[in-house]
Amino acid sequence: MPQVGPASVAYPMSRQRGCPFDPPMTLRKIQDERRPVRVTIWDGSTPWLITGYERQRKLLADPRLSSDATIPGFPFQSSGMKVRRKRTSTFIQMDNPRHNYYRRMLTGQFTAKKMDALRPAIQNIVDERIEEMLAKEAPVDLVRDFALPVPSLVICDLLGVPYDRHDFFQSASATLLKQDSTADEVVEATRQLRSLALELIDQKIEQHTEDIIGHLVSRHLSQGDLTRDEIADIALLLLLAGHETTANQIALGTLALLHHPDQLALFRSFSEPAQIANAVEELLRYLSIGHVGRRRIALADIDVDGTTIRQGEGVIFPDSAGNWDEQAFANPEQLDLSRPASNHISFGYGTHQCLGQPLARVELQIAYKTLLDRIPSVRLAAEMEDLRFRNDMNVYGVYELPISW
Amino acid sequence: LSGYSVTVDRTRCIGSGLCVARLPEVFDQDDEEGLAFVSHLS
Repeated sequence: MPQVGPASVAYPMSRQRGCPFDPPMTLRKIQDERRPVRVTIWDGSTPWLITGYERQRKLLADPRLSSDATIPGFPFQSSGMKVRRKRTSTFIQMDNPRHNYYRRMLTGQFTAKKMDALRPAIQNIVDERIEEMLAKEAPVDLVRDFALPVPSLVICDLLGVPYDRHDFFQSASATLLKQDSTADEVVEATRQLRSLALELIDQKIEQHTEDIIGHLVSRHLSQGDLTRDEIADIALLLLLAGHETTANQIALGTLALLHHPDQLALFRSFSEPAQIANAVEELLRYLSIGHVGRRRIALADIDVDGTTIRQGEGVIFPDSAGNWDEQAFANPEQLDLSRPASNHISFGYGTHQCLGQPLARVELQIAYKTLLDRIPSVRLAAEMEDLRFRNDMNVYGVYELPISW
Repeated sequence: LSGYSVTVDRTRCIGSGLCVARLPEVFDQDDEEGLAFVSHLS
């Protein structure tokens, strides 16, 4: 039997064939050991893998674990991410108090109340995408025609991208996320989006608008808290953070429902907003699409249940290793839309937890509900085993999802 | 909720809005920084 010991396991692991919703079997075995385990990542380094819901929450809230990617030894997700993180620096890779200084310029823009007020606008975007999809001949690709454009258009609204630039914004952001984009194409699309952001900043200096860029300009640029470049970086961060994640959760969640007919029927029977909201939480828990794990580096020696994580060592927190902990969620391998699921850690935990989570929740609630209501006969137009899953990407999901009705 | 006392430590609040989503009758967030406060508990 192969030994699951120090540095012997490569991370991330591959999932078992035929079980696209389940975390990798090796990861679930490590989880049963209930202690930190060393894994080997892409650059040959051997950071610690933290499993278990309570242990993950405790350590994600521990200020001795840093998000500062400039510290030597930081366990990057990939070589591409290492390049990207070194090129721009936003508050997601800073520790407090610097992190809070920047984050608090944005938290007021993502309050539960403000996100609730966006429901009619998001509903319009979702309705339009569905009508356009239905006007086509089936099968259509739900990823390209629905899951990707919806969050992109919502972010346009939030940032204050004018309507006549939506097509440009959409196609440039799609280039960033497409699997087959070349490195040059990605660099060029990033440059275009950044110059669009700078152009919008200049317009909003002239004339104030009620959107996030407008807010950052009027409240923080004029007072010298932020530079034009910093605002452009924040705009790009919000685009990237809110696009790929929400899009993949929409598509993979739809697939999970189509694959579990009893849960699909249960979702359709829900009429209370609280029931739909909880169903979305369970889909977030069950799918745990952040499958390459949150990354930190130790600022001091830390004792974790008898194991010492040394200063300068990397630490990885896979979402599913908390969300599929049977001590936190009974029978975690079962998708059960009626279980109380809102304590999942798919948005992270601690000071860095997802800023846009109230927005993501509203988007997902509206997207699933409207899709299933508006297309009663929606079904998968491919065999499950022919679908291509995003095993090799930072955000898990499906590359295409052919549906018909 | 008699017998309970609820306060928010606004120096540690990260503005995730979870408390408002769970207990809108107890918590609210300010519009400026999005930090939580206890709104309806005497």
